[in-house]
Amino acid sequence: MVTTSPSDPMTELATPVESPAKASPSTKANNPNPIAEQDAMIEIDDVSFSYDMGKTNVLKNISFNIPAGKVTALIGPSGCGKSTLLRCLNRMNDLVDTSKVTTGQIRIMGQDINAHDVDPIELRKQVGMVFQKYNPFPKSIYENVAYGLRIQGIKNKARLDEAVEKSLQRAALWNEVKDRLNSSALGLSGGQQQRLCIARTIAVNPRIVLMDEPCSALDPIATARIEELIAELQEEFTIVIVTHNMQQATRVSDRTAFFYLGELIEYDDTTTIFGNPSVTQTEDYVSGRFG
Amino acid sequence: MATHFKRKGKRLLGIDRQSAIRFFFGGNAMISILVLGAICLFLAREAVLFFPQHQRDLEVFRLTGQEYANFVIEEMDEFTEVKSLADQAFYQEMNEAYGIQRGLVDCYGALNDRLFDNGEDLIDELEDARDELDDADGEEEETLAQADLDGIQSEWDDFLRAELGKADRKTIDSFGRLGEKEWQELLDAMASWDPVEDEPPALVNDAKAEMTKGMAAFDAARMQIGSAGSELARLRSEIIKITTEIKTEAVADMSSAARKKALLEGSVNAATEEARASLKAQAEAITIRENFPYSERIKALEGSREKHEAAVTSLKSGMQAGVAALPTEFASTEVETLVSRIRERTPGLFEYLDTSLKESADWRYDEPVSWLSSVSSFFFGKDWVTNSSFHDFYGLLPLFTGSLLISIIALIVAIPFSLGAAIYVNRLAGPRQQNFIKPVIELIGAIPSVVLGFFGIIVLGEALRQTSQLEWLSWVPGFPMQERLNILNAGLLLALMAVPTIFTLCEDAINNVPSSFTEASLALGGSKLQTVMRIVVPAAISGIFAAILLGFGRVIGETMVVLLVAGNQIAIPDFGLGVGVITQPAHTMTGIIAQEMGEVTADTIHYRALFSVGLVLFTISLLINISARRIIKRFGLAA
Amino acid sequence: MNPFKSSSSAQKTKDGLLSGFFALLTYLILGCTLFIFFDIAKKGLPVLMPVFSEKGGEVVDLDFLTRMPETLVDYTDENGEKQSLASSDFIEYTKANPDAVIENKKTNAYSGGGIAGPLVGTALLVIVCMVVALIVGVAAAVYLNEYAKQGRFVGMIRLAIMNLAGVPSIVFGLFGFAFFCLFPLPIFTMIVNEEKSLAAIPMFGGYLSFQGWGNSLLAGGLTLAVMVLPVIIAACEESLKAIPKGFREASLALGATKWQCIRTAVLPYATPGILTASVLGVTRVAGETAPIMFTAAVALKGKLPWQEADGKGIFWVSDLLTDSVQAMPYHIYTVAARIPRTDATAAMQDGSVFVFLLMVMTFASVSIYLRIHFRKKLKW
Repeated sequence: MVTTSPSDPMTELATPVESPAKASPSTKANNPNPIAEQDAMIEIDDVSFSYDMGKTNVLKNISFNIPAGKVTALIGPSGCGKSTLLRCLNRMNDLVDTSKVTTGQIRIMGQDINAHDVDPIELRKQVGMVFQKYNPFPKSIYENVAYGLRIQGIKNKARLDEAVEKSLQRAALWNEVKDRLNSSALGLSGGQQQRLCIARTIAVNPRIVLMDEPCSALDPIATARIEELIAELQEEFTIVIVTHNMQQATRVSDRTAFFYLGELIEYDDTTTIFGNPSVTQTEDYVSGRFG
Repeated sequence: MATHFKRKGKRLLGIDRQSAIRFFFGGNAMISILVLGAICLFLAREAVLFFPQHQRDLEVFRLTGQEYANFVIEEMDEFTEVKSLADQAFYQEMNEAYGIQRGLVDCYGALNDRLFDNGEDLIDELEDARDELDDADGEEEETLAQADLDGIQSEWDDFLRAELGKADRKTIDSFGRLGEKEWQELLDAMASWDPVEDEPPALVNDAKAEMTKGMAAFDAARMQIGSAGSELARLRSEIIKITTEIKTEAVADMSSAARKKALLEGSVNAATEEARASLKAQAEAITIRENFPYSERIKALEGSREKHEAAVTSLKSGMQAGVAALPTEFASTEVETLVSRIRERTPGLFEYLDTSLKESADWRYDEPVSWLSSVSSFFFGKDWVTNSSFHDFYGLLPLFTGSLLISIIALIVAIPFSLGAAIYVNRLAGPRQQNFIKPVIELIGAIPSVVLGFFGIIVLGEALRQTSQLEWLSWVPGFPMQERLNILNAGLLLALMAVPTIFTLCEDAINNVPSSFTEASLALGGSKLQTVMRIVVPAAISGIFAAILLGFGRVIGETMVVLLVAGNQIAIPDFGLGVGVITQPAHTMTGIIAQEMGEVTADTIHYRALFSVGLVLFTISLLINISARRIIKRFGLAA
Repeated sequence: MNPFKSSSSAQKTKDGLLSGFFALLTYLILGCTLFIFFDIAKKGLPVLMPVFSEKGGEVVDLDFLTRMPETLVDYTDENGEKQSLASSDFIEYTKANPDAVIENKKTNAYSGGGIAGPLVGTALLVIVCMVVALIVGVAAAVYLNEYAKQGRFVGMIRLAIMNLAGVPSIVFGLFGFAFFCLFPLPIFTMIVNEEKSLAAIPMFGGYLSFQGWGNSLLAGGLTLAVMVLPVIIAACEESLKAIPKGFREASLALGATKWQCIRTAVLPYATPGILTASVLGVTRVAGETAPIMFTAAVALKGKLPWQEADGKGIFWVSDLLTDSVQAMPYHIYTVAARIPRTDATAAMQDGSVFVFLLMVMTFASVSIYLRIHFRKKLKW
């Protein structure tokens, strides 16, 4: 069932509707709800990606659209390329010198993000990221949240105070830390540190928040709080979350994409993916038969 | 059954071969502990013995009255410092207000010397010819002599013209005091100069008169200040003479027993009967006294106190008048600053004289010297004087100040360079640059310090001095510098030596900053440089601090560069110059050991003083090392 | 419209300036270093290789490398030209030409002849130092890495090594002077120094005399060895750590004793590391002046050390070891600090510094190369 050819209908299913030629298969059962171009925040179009200057591709001809204002989960077994794809979305992979997008385009708000006139710094200001292991800076809580604003050149204390308070409130952390904003962020519990990282990310008001297994290092209670937070944040941000935990995907996401060995196997509403997947591999994975 | 697995092998003295090998390795590992212990032991032993010996030395210093003499000496030194300011101001004013005049006088002198040197024979001939003409009898003889003289005269004229034409303005007027016009005027005036009469041209005489007249008031004031101290100076030499005599006798007395023994032994072994008798006589002439009669001898100082008081009073009044008589308007602000410094320092000097006079009045030769003063006069003593005819001082302060100043300069220069290079190599440069830069910086660490010192003497010192003489840099404090070998020169070279240490450790610290921090910052839209400056450097700061500490340890312990380049002047540098203090020469703790260790006899006080300095160095390096390692450990850095 | 267009150009400029500044700092360091090398080479190369001097000459001035340092005589000859000759050459010259015009004769100590004595002395010091330091250092590293368990004793050893590494070299010099030179350590000798000797035990036709080693090759070499020990131990330990545990386990599992295991499964694979450590050690000690200033070095010697040793057998060795030596760094210190630099004396100064720097830098480059090379190659 695994397919590698780009012309295979399987991968074309997820391509944007813009092309009439490719639009026809989208009526197939495994992708009944394609995202219309105008609703798409992120359009991923036939993207292949390599870490070794194109010798081997870790992502192979991925195409799908991520809707605005929704939570999209990327699932799949380890090494399937989901984190790599996530890191392509704000060009964090640029940090690896030999990395390269070999084919296709990623468009965010209609703009090809790998175009030469795109500044990755500006891109990252709009596409924030929360990491697998919480990584607050070794600074105070306040400075952590204010960091993104400070590097944008905002020095006004009142504005910073306001933004810090608002972000911490939105991250549901304000009540816990309001009395010790100036103490070190490293003194917080793991769950609090991760929420602080979320607050730090949303303080700069990005359009999109990427989350790379944000709960994998947390205990169940802290995980639950982060999941609640994601549900609340969904109203303001487009969220793309990579997760290993399928229950989490069902709990937080609207749409789910399943990856396997660098390919997109299936992409649909979360309920469909978990309730009635059209591809057997997806079914095998979500029911825990491998992965 | 168990015998199957029993140990095999021979045993020697109950130790089997495996344990013996283990002991061998362990013993070698223990050598480092033993060496460290031995270093502590050998340094501490000499230091422990130093302080009682130093205490006895200070006791003799007091008993012989040398301590009293020292009051007068120091008063005189303080006074001389102010006095030399007045001289400095005078000559500078003369140069600036009467530069051309002084230039004319000096250049005339130089030309004169040159003409006499080069034209010695011709001048003699000329003189002879003139004498001959004067002595000539009869017309014929006169004509002959006249012709002779004319010939020589024209030869001289040619010579003079050639010499004046040849005269290089830059060599003659080495201070550049004369303009082109004045130079030509002088040459013109010299064209008719007569070597036999050897009279300066009117131009020069006028200049001289003008200069003397103009400077007369300043000169008088300066002389008045200078002569104010003459009474104190007389007292100084008088007391030094008396007390040094007492000391010489006392020291001879102390060693009399040993000398007598040596002479007696010598007389037994002497070759001839005659020598034997003479040696024996010499030995018998030595009387061994139980106690040297200090109280008796110190009476020679009676009356000194009154003289001292009178001398100080006369110094103060003379100086007051002299300072008041100093002119108030000057050719340049520099002279003005100098004179205002004299005015500022005068009350301080008077105050110092009063306190010193009071202290010396309370001074008593038989007051016991406490061990505490032995310790404090080592650690806080302002003088390190050895092999002196008066008294040897072992004060650490000038050496410590020198070491510290040089190290600070070195660090101030080395830190930005090392840190900048570490940031650049670790975060900004590509792998190709890294592979080139890192080994080269490592190579710097291998440059022998004696080679760097040599470079400092031959190249850097001269380059620094020439730079400091540039007109447009004269605003820099301490410029133009007087000495080629100074704190700055040594500091710059040591900075280069500290770079590899600080660079390597900083680079390690920066490299150890978790990539999650960097990623988080970049994901927030931080640029590479923002991430480095706001996240990476602050996160690595403890490692950077440890690197700086170890760099400090490296430079303060460095010997050859400071020995060769620091100028080796044992004095606390004049902090009155502000930042300009770094252009002064200094001596260091490491330098003094290297310089004097080779010349001392074991177990003398000087030998032990040097070991005590070594102990201080050793302690400093241990403290630095331990605290740096602690920082590294605390913050979990691998280094 | 591109929403991600580069916007804040001020920040860009700031970043550009800052990275330019860091690059400038880095390349200034390299520039200064290269300038020093270049300047020393420019002055020194013509002395060693006169073919590069203005006058021209042989390719390599062998005399400079093979003669002992001696006094230099400079004078003005009958043509008014300045000449300089080593004192022995000068004596010969005046003997051969009794009528030669010699004016403005001046003598400059240590500035004539060549640098054979210092070169040989430095080589001997380095050999004595490295033999001792390698034996002790490798053994200590083996103990720390193979035998020792984490504990108080090992902690103390590591602390001592660490602190030893930070001790200023002049303090090692003081220690060496007090311990190796003055402390009555035993030495084989034919003639006992009555004044210094505590006790002399007759042995092998001479005496084992407890009289201290004095200013000697042995004292200097051991002082340097003590100083370089932490470097050697650290470098050896690093190479031992790089050997995979599996090698040792495989050997032990075959029934080897601990020593057999070390001898056959550890040390052979550590040889490259030990080689690197020793080259690094040579670099460190060859350049040091302070520790040998008053433990081993003298400014002037007429003969090479082995030519002066007149004993036989073991006494020849002990004569050699207890004799003082000339050394390159001390020679440079002497000519640079005590001899005024004139046209005549500059050649000795520049030439010695150049040869010495070349020597040390060669060793340093080799040690850096070896380390990088072995780190890259030897990944088990």
